Amino acid sequence: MKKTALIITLILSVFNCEDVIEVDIPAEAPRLVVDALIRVDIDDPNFVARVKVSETNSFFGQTTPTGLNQITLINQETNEFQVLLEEEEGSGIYSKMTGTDFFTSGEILLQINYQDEIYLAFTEFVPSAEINSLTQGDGTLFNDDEIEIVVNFTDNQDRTDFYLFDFGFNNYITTEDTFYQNQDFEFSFFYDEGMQEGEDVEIKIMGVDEDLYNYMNLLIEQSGDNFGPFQTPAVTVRGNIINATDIDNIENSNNVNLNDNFALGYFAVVEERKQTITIQ
Amino acid sequence: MLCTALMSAQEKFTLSGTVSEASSNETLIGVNIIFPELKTGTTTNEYGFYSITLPEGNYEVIISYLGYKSIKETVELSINTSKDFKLTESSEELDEIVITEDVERINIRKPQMSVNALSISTVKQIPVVLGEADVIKSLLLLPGVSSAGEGASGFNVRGGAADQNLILLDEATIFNSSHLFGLFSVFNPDAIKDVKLFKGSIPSRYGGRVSSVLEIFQKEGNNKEFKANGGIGFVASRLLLEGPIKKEKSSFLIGGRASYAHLFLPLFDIENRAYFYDLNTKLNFKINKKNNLFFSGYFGRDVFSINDNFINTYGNSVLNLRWNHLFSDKLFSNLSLIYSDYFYGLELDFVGFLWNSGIQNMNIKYDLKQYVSDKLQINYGLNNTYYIFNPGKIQPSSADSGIIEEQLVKKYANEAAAYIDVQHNVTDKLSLEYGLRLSHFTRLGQEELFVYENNQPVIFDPLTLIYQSAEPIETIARSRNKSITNYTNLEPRLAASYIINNNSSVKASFTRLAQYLHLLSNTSSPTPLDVWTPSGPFVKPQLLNQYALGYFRNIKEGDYSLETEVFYKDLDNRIDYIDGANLIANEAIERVILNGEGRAYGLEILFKKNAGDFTGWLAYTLSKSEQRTPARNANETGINNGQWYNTPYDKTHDISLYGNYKLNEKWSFNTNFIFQTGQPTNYPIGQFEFQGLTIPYYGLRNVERLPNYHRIDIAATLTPRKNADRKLKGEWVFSIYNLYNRRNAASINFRRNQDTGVNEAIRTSIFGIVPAVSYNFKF
Repeated sequence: MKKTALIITLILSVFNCEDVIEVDIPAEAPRLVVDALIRVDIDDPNFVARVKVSETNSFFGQTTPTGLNQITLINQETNEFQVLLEEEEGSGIYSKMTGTDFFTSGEILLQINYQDEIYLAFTEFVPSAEINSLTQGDGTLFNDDEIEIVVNFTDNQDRTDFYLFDFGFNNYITTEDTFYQNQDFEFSFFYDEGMQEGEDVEIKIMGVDEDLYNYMNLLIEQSGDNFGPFQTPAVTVRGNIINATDIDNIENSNNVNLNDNFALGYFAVVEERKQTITIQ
Repeated sequence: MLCTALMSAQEKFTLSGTVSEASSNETLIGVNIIFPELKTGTTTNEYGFYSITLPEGNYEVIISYLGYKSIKETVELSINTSKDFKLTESSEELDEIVITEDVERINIRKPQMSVNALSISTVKQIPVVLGEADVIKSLLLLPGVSSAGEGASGFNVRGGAADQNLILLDEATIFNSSHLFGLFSVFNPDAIKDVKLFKGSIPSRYGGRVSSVLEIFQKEGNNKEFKANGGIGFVASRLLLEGPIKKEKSSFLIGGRASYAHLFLPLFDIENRAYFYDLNTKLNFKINKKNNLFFSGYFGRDVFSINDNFINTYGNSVLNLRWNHLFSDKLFSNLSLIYSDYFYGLELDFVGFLWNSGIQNMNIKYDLKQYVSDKLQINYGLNNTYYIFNPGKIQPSSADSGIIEEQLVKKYANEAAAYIDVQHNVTDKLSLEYGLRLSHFTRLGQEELFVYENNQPVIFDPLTLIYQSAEPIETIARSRNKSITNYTNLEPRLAASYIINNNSSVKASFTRLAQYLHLLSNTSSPTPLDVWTPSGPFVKPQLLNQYALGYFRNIKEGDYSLETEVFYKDLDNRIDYIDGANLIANEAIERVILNGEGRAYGLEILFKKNAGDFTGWLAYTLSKSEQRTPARNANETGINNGQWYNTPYDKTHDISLYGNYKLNEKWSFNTNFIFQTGQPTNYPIGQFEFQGLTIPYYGLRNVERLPNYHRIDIAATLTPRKNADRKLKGEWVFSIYNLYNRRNAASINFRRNQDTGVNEAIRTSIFGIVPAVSYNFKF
């Protein structure tokens, strides 16, 4: 239904007139950002797990990669751990070739030491569903240059599922199975990227949990350029990475009084499946 | 001797009847009936009825009403007398000597304050966008009333939310007052007789919303002769027919308005439709002196479609039956049976589903008005409303759609109220209006009800500091006949006026109001797909106290008037939404809602020039409106860290200037100027990247503001001279909206430009300069 709101907004934008203006904006001190959405291909026994770390900047500035003192993944069930290493000095990309099994069972802890602070996040592997087919349609939604791709997939049996689609070009869509439990579900996505005939497009589906589903919804909404005159309340999109430096579980077991003490980003391990279609 | 003197002093008789417009017999609301020798008087009620009881004698009586020629007559009161008065419109008497127009003069004596009445002729003169006369847009020119801007539904009164306005059309609740997402309101100005907005000091006969009551009455229809009027405009055309069914006894009125189907075609290069229409009907039967019967109906729809991929329909329907009965010349009664609903439907072909949601209500009310003496009038009555809420139903749009049909659990509730309201002129100087409303709300059982651990549908993670929805631990079923939650509230209302001298008075009031319904809306103004939800086990009723104090003055015998008021409001249980709350198709809305509070205060000044060729007003409002949702316990932060923040409708300064200049019989000119402090908004305090997306992020809510909003509109009305001897009377209205083409920001959004990779602030503005012409006619 998110899509509905989006369309209403788009209709309204018909009346609108948009222009770029100069605005003085406030800025806060740089904050750690952890992009740790680890996409697992379960058919591959080994793969490279990658985490990207950076610092925030004011909206009109540039975000910059940053360096960590240490970054470790620990499987709480097996007590196995993996230390990630920076791929290239100054890139902010930390990685490790890891067995797929490490991720697919048990709770996984991400621990980061950064500028004398300790950050933690917990997650568990979420399975996905198979894309049955991708077909190109001839429909359009808002302009004649759009390319329609019809996605068909089968919902997982008897469980509440949340899915995240990655259509490339930074196009993400979330969906939940409330209204199509156990069904073959088909929907259309409309590309507006001016793609050429013969171009390959890879479409990916990931299984996510409800928290990540909510998080991605917020990111899509806040980053999107599909807005109209309805102003939605702005939120600080907090993820699941907590600052545990001051938590000793004796005097302090939460961050309620340190509510400015957090990192942005998200840590999750998800199954990803993909298919490619060639634009006709 | 003494005995007979006493006797004759006690001998009192009642003068009663109706006041109507001479040419159509349309009854008139709020006409002043004044007895200058006794310094007393009364006004006609919503059905044009008046009654006053006075000592025996011969009196001069003056009947005066805005825009009409006053009548001065002598009545001999020696028995109970029934007398009807007929008024003629002052503008029709072209050749008469110009008399001072008795226009919207303030009644300094009545305790009623915080109320604004607009005549429908004023509404029709105010310049508006695309030339379509609009009741709600006109209200925005009054002090204490604002909106989120162009293309925003609803209106905000004294720092209140749009869902806190009770909008009544012929006593029936209208749930959505906007067409085309707020560009126009749903009221056809031709079909309307009277508009009144209560911003505070709300009499006890009203209840159910905490901010304001907008009461609109439709015309009854001319019972003397057949008449038609209408208009042709840029956006829509309208036609209204009225006439007698049986002369002087019964009448009908039917009015339709429709916009042009391909309204926005030029703006799109693909097939699309966007239009609205509405239909107003009324039948009215004068059965005899003591009984009148009214049927009225309203039906309106908006339709949008794009490529048949997307079809969106929504609107209100209202049907009601009212029966006026006079028990005696001192006791007036009205029984109303009302049905009202709001429907929202959506068809999304590319996802394969149909969706509809809405609210229905059935209302029975019985109101009595007892005219005890010229010093005392008592109103009392009962009101019961039964509600059915449809949060949403989803259906597959075709056989091969994967969507499973599902009805989100419907909700049911009943709201009952009893009230008494006394209007009491205590001394020559002091008048009081005091009343009490007892309201009772029952949330009835439904098929599925969720039960949560510790009764908490919203939980807080003290480590990530995020409010989250709790998982229900159990689902239970309760019969629709059983109550699951009850709320009872006593709502006292008190207003007093004290006359300082012939021309000035002070007034004070206290109003307590309860609101049991909530519009789930997380945007700065409501959207058509917002869903209403009842109070219940987790969502508490909104409770408001309002205190107001005012000074009122007529200058130069009412040629000018000055109204100043200060108000303070505190509101409990204003719902607030957790970050990222999804309100659409949400089966358990309690899982994204927390109960917060609100407060608003301000100063309003209204200075009017009521007489002469130039009339108009200057309205100024200085106000503050805030809300907060504190932590429920020490292990939480509350929404926005539990701090007060500006509501989206907090406008520090709001200035409206309206002027009407009548040059001659042919030309008249109107203008408005509007200035408002920019709406509260958010600017990002930083940005970050995640999976290729660039995301602006924000700090505390609503600390920034959009640029100030201002514009000037002008209109000229041409009434051709040859009209006078023609049956068809026409007029042309030329208007220019936003004369200096200011690009007022409706919103500022922040995004990364996907083509250039540069971050940008994007201003969205709705209307630049908009010229329009419309033609109105009557015959």
